[in-house]
Amino acid sequence: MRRRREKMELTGDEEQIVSFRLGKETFAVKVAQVREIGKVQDITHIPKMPDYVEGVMNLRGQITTVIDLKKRFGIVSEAGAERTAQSRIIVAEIGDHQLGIIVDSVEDVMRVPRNSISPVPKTLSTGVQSSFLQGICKLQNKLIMLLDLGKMISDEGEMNMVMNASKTERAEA
Amino acid sequence: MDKSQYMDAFIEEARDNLQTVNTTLLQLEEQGYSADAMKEAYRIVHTIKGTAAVMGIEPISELSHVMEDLFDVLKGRAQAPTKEQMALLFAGLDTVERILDELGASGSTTISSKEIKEKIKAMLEEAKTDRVSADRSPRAVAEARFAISGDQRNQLLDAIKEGKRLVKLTACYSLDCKLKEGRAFQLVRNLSKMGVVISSLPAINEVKDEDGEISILLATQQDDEDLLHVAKNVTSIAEARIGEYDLPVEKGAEERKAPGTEAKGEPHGAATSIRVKAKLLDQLLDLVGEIMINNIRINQIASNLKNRELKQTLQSNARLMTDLQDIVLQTRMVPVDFIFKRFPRMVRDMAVESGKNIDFVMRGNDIEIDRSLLEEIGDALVHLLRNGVDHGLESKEQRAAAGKSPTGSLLLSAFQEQGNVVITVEDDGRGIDPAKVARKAVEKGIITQEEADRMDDRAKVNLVFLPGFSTAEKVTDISGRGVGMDVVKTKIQGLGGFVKIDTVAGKGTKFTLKLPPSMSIIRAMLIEVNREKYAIPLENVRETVRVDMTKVHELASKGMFRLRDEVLPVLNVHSEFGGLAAEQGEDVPAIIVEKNDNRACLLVSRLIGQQEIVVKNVGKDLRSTGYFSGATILGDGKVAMILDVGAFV
Repeated sequence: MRRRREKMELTGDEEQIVSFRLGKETFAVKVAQVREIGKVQDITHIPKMPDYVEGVMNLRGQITTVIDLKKRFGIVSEAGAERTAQSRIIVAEIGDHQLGIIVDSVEDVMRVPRNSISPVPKTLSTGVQSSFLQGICKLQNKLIMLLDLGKMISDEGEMNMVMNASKTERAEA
Repeated sequence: MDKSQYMDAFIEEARDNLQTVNTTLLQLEEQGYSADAMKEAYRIVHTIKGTAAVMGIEPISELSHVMEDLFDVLKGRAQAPTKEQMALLFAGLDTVERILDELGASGSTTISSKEIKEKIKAMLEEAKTDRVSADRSPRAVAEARFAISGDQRNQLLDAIKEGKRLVKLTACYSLDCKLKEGRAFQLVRNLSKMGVVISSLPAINEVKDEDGEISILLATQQDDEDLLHVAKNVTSIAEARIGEYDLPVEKGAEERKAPGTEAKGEPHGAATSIRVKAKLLDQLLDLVGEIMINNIRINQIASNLKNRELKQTLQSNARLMTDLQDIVLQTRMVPVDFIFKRFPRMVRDMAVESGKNIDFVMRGNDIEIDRSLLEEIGDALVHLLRNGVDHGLESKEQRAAAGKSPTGSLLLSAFQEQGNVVITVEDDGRGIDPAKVARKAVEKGIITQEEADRMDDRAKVNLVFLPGFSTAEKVTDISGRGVGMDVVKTKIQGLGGFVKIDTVAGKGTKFTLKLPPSMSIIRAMLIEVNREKYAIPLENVRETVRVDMTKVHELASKGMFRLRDEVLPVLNVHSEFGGLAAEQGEDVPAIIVEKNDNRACLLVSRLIGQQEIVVKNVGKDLRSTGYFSGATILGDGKVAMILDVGAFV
């Protein structure tokens, strides 16, 4: 997957990203890290887990853990319903692991020049752990925070807690 | 030709072949020379050499070349490898295996086989010049099996029923013996008076003058001495010896002497089975699970439509589904021999290393078990066997002092019991001393002296399963990384099984591993708690009841409920899972669960019913709560977690 991304970076010198909203803020992830985007379907709640762990869902036979990114980042919901018709689950797939993240709405899939992405300023005040941020993407009319899903899913990340088992792992129960 | 794509196939095949040579060598070591075994070893080493040469892996091809030569010389002389030759051959096979490991990991190898090759070469030169056959022990003579026909077998079984025992009498002709056929006939006739002659080897009408001896299979009630006396009284019989004969078991029956019959192989097997990638089988099972789930859904929709034709089609579909599921589950079943077969060699090495004499016997190699389960228990079995050799069995001297046979016995057996697969590892060693275990546990600070004092012997013995107990064990290079007993226990329990120890001081120890037969598709009871559905494996469900909450009494701050003669702890799963407070009422649905003989009464919102579920793997994180062993997908496509009853009892 990394190779594919690099190739894209080399040829176009641009990054393909999916932008989405959490409350008032706009975030984005690299398309290369996204397996699919779907509507919020039936999620089975799991007791005794941190509150941001929404539960598990059936993604074509695979049990996929779903987290609520707003709860995870402590972003306050705008007044109104928790889930709306615009709510989506972005299923990220890094290596053998996958994780569903619930976002308020998916905005756009776009190509951005790589030089428009700058490092995260230290002074940034947001609930988002800066280690999960890959950079800030400056567009004409707005700023988008680029999330590093790999970090979130990766072993060092706190998200390891809810990391999902790999598809190729043997079924052991 | 791009060789890399053949590399995996080569490695796999070579590993299989190595295994066969190992088994054959063990057989030669144990039972002495056998033309078939030598031929087999020679043939397979030749194959390894050939394929390695094609693949351009010189360290293997050159090494197997000299090994092949050595087999050839020995074969030509009808002689089993001597002890030194055996050691070198085993070392050679190990070198090949190491090279294969490295090839498998990195695609190339740096291991040199030169040293071992030179050693074998030297041995070969020695063997060539050494015209006098070296160690020709009586055992070094052909130990081929008697050919027993169906009639003879019946005759034999009748004889055994009559209380006769089975002996094999081997008589050597004197050097100047002429007309051996006549002598053989005479011998058989005389022995017939002592019992029932079942068979002879060679058959009586095939005796030739080149033969050196004849073996007779006899069912008799007479003493060995008397029989030997009769045999030696026949003219020109110079020597006779006698021994108990173990009837080779028919295919499908359970007992098999460890390195025994494997080497002969089953030629018909090659044509009827093929290799399939394990991953494909896993995917196939996943897909069947998916289809089953979809099918439940379709059935739900169909029941609303009330279309007769659709209903009939779905019914026949259901039957097909069941068949398909059975077959897919079968494809995942492999005989335990799959991993058992490497143990004789391993135990032999451990025995040599520890200087102990060990009679290692395996039983039930043909018992089938889910492949993924089998892979998981391999390490646990290695550990238990090593434990048996290192700690269970005493040294020759100690055994002699205790009045036991100097050869320790180690028995690995697999059998089926009520749908479960049970594997036992049993030794006739010193047993586990509860006091000693307790002392060690106290020393290591695992338990306090007071706790130890309160424990009975059984509890003390079970201390060996606690983490940290076996860390001080020396790790031998044979078994590699040592895992503690606690790892064995955790592993087996994680697979839904359990481990039990039975030990008698001075008599031996028996470890029993009980495993579920398959863990992919199980029957489960569906329940509802806090508006979520959960599945409980049916094997953990004893019954469902209605609980009158007014009859639940507090006892030591725990709710207790009396069911017939039994007092059960009551657990409210709602509050356990952070839901609403306990339901009150006279009619609360509940389910009695049990695991490892512990029972509990779980209060739930609703009992839904029994259903077949496909067990799906969940990440470690979800399992780490301890409440769930997996998950499944229900007919409506929603996920339901599978409760691990162990968390409640």
